[in-house]
Amino acid sequence: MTTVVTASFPWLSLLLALPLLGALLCLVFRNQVDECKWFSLATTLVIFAVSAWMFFQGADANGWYFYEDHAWIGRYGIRYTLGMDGISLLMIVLTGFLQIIAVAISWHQKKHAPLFFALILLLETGIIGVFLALDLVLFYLFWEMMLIPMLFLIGVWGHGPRVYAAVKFFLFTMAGSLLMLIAIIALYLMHGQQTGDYSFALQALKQTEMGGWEPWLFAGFMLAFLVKVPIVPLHTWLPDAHTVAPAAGSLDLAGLLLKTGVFGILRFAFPLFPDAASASLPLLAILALAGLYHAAWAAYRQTDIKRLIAYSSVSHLGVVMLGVASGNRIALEGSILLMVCHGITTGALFGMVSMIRRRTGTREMEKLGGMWKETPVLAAFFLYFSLASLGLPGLANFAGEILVFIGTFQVAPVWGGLALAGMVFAAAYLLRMVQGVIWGERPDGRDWPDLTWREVLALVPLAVATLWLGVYPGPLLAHLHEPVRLILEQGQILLTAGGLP
Amino acid sequence: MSGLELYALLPQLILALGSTLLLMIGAWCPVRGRLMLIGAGLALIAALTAGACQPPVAEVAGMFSAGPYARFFTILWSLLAALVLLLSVRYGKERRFPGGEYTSLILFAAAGMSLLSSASSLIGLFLGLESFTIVLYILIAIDKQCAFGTEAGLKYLVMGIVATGLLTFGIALIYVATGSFHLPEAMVGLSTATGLRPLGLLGWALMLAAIGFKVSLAPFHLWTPDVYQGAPASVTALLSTGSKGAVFAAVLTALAAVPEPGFTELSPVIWVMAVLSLILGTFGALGQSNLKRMLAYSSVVHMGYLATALLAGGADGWTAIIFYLAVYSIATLGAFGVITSFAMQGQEPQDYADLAGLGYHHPRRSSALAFFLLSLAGIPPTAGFIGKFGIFSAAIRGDLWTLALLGIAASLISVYYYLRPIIVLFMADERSVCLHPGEIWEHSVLAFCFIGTLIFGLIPGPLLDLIQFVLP
Repeated sequence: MTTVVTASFPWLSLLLALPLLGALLCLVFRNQVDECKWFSLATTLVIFAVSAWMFFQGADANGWYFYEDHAWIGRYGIRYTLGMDGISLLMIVLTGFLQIIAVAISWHQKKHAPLFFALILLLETGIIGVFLALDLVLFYLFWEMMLIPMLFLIGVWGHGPRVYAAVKFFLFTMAGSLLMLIAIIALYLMHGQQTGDYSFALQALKQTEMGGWEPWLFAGFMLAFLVKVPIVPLHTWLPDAHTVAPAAGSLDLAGLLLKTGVFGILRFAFPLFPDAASASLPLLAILALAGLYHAAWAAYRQTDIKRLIAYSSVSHLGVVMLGVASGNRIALEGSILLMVCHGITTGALFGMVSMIRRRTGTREMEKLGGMWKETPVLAAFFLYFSLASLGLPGLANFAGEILVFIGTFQVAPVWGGLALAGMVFAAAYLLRMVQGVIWGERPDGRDWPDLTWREVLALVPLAVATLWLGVYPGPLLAHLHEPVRLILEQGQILLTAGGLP
Repeated sequence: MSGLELYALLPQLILALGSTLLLMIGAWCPVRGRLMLIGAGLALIAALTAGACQPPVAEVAGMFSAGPYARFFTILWSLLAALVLLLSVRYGKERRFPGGEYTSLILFAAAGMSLLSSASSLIGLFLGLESFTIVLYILIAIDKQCAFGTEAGLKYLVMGIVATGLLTFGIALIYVATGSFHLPEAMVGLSTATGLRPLGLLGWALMLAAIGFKVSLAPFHLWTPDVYQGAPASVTALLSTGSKGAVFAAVLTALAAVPEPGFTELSPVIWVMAVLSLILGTFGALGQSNLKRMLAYSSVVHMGYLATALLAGGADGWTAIIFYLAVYSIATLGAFGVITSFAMQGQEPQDYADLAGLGYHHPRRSSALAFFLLSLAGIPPTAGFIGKFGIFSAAIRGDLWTLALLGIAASLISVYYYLRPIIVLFMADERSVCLHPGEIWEHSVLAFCFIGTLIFGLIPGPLLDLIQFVLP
């Protein structure tokens, strides 16, 4: 773990180039459908292999595992700067992992399959770029690059009111992004006028003196990120998008895209605006708790299991945001760990919903039931991931949630207590779902086949990861100590104010 | 006019004389396709000449500059003419355009635009503007069988005459106030010290109105949708890009000559025009279900952005304007190019209903159209994003917060109306019938525009440096 890899080989650019290359191959050979599937699978496997190799590398003195920096648009001072710290490392490993699953669960895709896989890979470039970019314009570019593939994934391959959901998703995120763009430009000009150095580099802009503008610019950034997280009341696009999105789209949306919002807060919003950030923590915590409860209640009322899981995502992200808002080291590490765990368990659940739907033709709880008898393997996996999602000790989400709660209790016991009570709701809606799907009487109709070997092959890695994260999250946390310390120390007020009131 | 001056004017001469030559050839041997190809070749030669031949004198006849700024735009408009001609080879045949006349008019329009962008005196400005406007009157109505075209031509003519009147009167007033047509002097004469400044400002206000007509800035934009819709798509491509860009280029030259502190009295007028363009253009575009009309209203919004950067001024604002003009022209040409290449027997697919599901019949051109629309919407990694970025950055630097925020709002709403055709292309439930597969020239023009939009989005540095170099 101590070897520091010098930036001789552009590993980070390779991570960005691989999915692009795969996408291009899919487009060029769009008439050979089977080859395209294998191209995509191979690409995602290679990306995961590279990211897994990175996982065993060590960081340099500044906390960077890998770093690249090149001039790009000289006139505006925009640079091509990529950097991987512990948080981005975990997020990229998660991305690499989930994208394999996304390709695997879409293997049956018949409608324009090459285009579908090309878009999944293009999306991967955008997501990895967001996790790596250290130049604000570069970051914005990747941030927007995630939108177009998702728009098409929802709009072309969705079910039901897909165009409505796709456009709603696009406009919501675009509105936030454009405000962020204005804030980025304003920050750039302020910094340039103060120092004469017109630059978009995150590192340089951290030292900007903003005076009265700071809350406004902070708000511009936060709106972009909070829409993506999403935090109540900016979340309404998410259930709609999930309801219609294809399985891989939901998996990427819940597993990865939501994380880019929290990641953006940690990497850009907090370090750039420490004062405004620490002042906003109580508000964030209130929003997080409101989201947790509101989404849990909404999830309980759903009859469509996919929509239910979508709301449960909002609720879980409420816990994540609470950890972020507590400004406490343990809670923050827990939040990041919970993001990884949530990505895997929720991703798995969305995948399973699509498997159930393909068998039964429905996602309505009344029309499901009795799967334990009819399709035992599928039911067992579904139960397993549902239990992991509700935070059963020993499975993934528990590890993250417990850290968030411990950390929050240290600074604000009341908030921690409220959040913990909220988890009872999580148990309620998830158990209700499990009961509705697995047990009870199955409705009449034709037989439902059990999982195929390919589906099992896609689910087993997820199950193993869920168990591993729940039992032994230590290796992941080891990567988080340093970046979390940096985030908290750079915003020094975070520590002295102790976060929450 | 000395030989050296003629040599300095060589690119424009190639365009204008080539135009007359082709008119003659067309009269004796009407081979439509070949004439257009020759015309495109001539335009390319003009572009090459403008790039390669060092002008021996800086100014021609005290009317036109031959500096790098003028040459830059000459190259741009010559290339545009070449691309438009290549686009028209098949389309013109199917609509039975008179080959000689059409080609020669397009070349002449390019010469006019190039002269307008090079104008260094108000007379030069007038000459350049009128020479391509008159050409456009004919080009818009060149298909005599098409009622829409005739209507559009008439509308453009009436509006154009009003604009010409305003322009002439404005120039006359400025001449009265300063005693000069030549640009630095005519503007310097309007400095605060002179007593005739109000007269000159009135002249400028009239000129602004005329310019508003030409580039369709609100509230002078009403002709735009009808003319865009009625004109043949290839002509609309020229009208929507070159004719507006050249006017902006000339305005920049004129404003560059204005001594400090500039025309603070006129700023509110431009401000109001920018605000109105952003608002009216946006709301106009929202309701459209015809691609050409939507692009017409959206062009009003784009002109609003350009006016914003014009207000911001300074090297930043002007670099932003020229860069935006270039990438806007490429993307717009591409969008109209796709419409042209889809046309069957001269029937363009204009309504969204005609485009339903075409993404799967014609994946490459549909994706290209989507890409051009995304560039117009300003979404990275297209060139439109860098263009908008420059505009907003100049606006905020110039403390134009209202315009910047309004522009952001307009951009957000624009995403909606630009997405609609994309959605129809790729996400419609029903499928429209296959359209024309297009031919080699059309495909190469579209490929050129596509690559340009992508390259200037990813590597805008060289173009920005070039613009920085040519700025007056």
